[in-house]
Amino acid sequence: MTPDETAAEPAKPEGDPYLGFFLGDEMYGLPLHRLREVCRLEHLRRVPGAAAHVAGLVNVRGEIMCAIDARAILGLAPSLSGEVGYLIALRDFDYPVGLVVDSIADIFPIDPSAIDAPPSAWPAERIACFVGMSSVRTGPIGLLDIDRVVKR
Amino acid sequence: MDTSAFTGKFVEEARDRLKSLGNALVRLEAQPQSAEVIAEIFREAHSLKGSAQMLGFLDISHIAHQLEDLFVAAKRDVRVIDGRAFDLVFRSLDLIAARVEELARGKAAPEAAKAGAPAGQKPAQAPRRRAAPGQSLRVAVEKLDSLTHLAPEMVIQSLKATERHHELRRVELSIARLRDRVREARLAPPTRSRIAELGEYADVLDSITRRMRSLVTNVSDDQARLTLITEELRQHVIDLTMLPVGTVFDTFPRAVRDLSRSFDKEVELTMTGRETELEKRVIEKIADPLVHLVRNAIDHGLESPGDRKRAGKPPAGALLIAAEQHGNRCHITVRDDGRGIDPKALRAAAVRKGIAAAAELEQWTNERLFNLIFEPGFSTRTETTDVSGRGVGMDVVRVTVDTLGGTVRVQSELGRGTTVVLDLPLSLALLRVVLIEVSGEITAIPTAAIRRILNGTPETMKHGQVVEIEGESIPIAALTALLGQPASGAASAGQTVLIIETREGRLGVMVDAVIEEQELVFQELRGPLGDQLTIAGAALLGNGEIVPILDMQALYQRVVQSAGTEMAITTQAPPVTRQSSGVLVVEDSLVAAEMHRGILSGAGYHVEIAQDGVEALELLRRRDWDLVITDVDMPNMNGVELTVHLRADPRLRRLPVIIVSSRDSGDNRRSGFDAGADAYLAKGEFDQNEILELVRKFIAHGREGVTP
Repeated sequence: MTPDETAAEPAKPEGDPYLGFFLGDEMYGLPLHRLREVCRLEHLRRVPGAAAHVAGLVNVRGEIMCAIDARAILGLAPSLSGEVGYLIALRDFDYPVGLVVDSIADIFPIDPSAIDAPPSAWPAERIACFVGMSSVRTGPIGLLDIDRVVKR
Repeated sequence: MDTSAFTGKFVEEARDRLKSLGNALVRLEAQPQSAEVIAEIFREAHSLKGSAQMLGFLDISHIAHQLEDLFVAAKRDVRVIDGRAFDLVFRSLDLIAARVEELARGKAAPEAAKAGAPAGQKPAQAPRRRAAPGQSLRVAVEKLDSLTHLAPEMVIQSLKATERHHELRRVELSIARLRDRVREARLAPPTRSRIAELGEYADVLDSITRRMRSLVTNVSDDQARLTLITEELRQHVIDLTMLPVGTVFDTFPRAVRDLSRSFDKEVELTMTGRETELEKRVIEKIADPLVHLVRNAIDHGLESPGDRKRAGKPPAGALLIAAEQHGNRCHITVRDDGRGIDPKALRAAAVRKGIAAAAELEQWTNERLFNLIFEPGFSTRTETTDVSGRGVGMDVVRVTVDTLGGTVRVQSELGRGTTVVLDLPLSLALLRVVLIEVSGEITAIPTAAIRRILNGTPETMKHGQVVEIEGESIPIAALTALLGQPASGAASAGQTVLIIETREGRLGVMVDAVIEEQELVFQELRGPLGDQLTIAGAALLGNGEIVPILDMQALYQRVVQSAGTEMAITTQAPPVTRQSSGVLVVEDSLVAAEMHRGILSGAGYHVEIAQDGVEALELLRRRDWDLVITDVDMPNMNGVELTVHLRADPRLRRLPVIIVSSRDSGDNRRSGFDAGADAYLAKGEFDQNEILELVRKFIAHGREGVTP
């Protein structure tokens, strides 16, 4: 958690807002204040020889943005549906970067006291990507440590 | 007073004043009686003293004060300033300069504390941070003015957009109202009056249509205006980062004076194009290379006054430093009229250093030989001098120019002199690239890295081979393989191979197709792709598509690493050359030039390329040629001017000239034929056979034997 966040978002009764999104059936979330915008993933330019977690480059209104493949980072199998997903453009990084996800769920308030540690049975690499686990009305949600995910 | 915030400004001012002082002194040395120059030196020293005093840099103000005194005396009697005094004055300027650079690096002034300024014990970091003068940029007021003028324009456009939004709302309301009335009417039984209402609806619709039409016109006008403003804004913002090349040139009079003294040479320096503007980042990087070139010209190029007299030259050597803008590029020329470079000496040195065998070097063109002077550790000198001759420095020239996306060209004539031309981008933001297609995707290669484009190469040229091209063994690699992509299906005969030139060597890269040459806004990639070796950056095409820009240096290294294991050497038979002196293609676009070369050398003609009219004239006067094919729009001297020059030259008057231009109007054609062209083809519209047929006819029968 950045000191910024605690200062800018005093814990409201209902909790801090998170953006929930889907990778397959699983729901993940990231703090809403790290979101710049969401757009449909169109014209992804793959970069030959790039690391596996780099999906490619995307033109977001004239800015060339590096798209990170969330599935690859979290050790999930590539999407089979072949459907175009969404790009979550992120803020507060020192370069333009976004996260490729399957679809957007909703914005959920999550009470900091309702965040549990990720299951210890997970591989350490996966655990490192999470702030913790929580649940919302539609089910469990994995809250990502977005700095760790992007800078991996 | 907390002076740290002003240190940066002082450093900039002091640098400027030191430059002016240095230049004025050099002038005074040449014309010691000039009261005007003395007054100027006095003024500069006085102002420098004042500023230094104000900020408490007492050591600087002290020296400046002494200078001021000296020139007060000189105003009364110029004899005060004798040779010894000059050396002293120059040395004191150096002292001040050294102190100023210390300040620039953030070293606090000890004198400030001594002078009793309440320096205080503030947190140490804070002032140091603020006093980073390298970060500031001084901008001419008129540049800011033009930006200021754009601001109200943008406000107007934004007001207009709001207005259009309201108009659109009103039209929407009218439509909604009409829709409701039509709905009501539908429910009621058809009567006479209802039918009359239909006419009324039609009238309302008519008025809505009219309003829509004017709205569409207005919005389209707004959009055109906004595009214009945006483009202007972009241009002005780029302009803000541009500085006149004079900021580097102004250090040369002094440097040349010092160098000519230490080498016992006489030098007459001419500088032109000081006002040519380049991006600050480019200016900062070329300062060093230029100093090396100037040094080299004075030490190696120019002869001693005695030698020059014996060679029938004036005792003072002429040194020219010139900057000139060509479209989006800037040419910086360093030219001396000295002894020139001896190709024989270069060959001997190259053999000595084991760069190539003597027999191979015989095949090399002069241009390629001359490029050896930029090799690290290369020098033809047997003895070394203090400043140059150790082969240190010249390699800096090429490395720097490479990183800036530029090229270096060396021309030299024995006994007549040497010219080095740096071809640099005005701004690092714009990059000239050749777009290519690989595996169905578009990728870019910087034009500066491409030496040749071979179209329709024979089937025998395959990935992993080493092929001999123009007397040089060049490894061939498929770009797909280099990038780790599956080989493209179209790997048949007639592939395109780009000959890439890197600092370490040449490489042939097989691609599916060459699309075109374009100037793109270069964007650096940071983050996870920042250390992606094969890609230098990316850019957007007009349609929003992203093209990666390849780093050819990194790709070359990949090939070299794999070379030992996979490369098989095959020797290519030299292409059959017809009995002809050759065709000169004059064209500044690499892709267009190489297309001509491909067509003509495929038919057996010997082809060479000149980048503009000036270079063409030089090549044409050097030996015999059969024919010239020239573009019209080129820097320095365009194709029509070139044709006029040829027709005025008794030796070249009979040379057939074919103009190939994208300018296709009747007027353009007429001016081409008026200048003396023998044929005029429109770019992109002729086919290969047409141009081949023309070339064949002209070479067989000469200009007079063919009626176009």
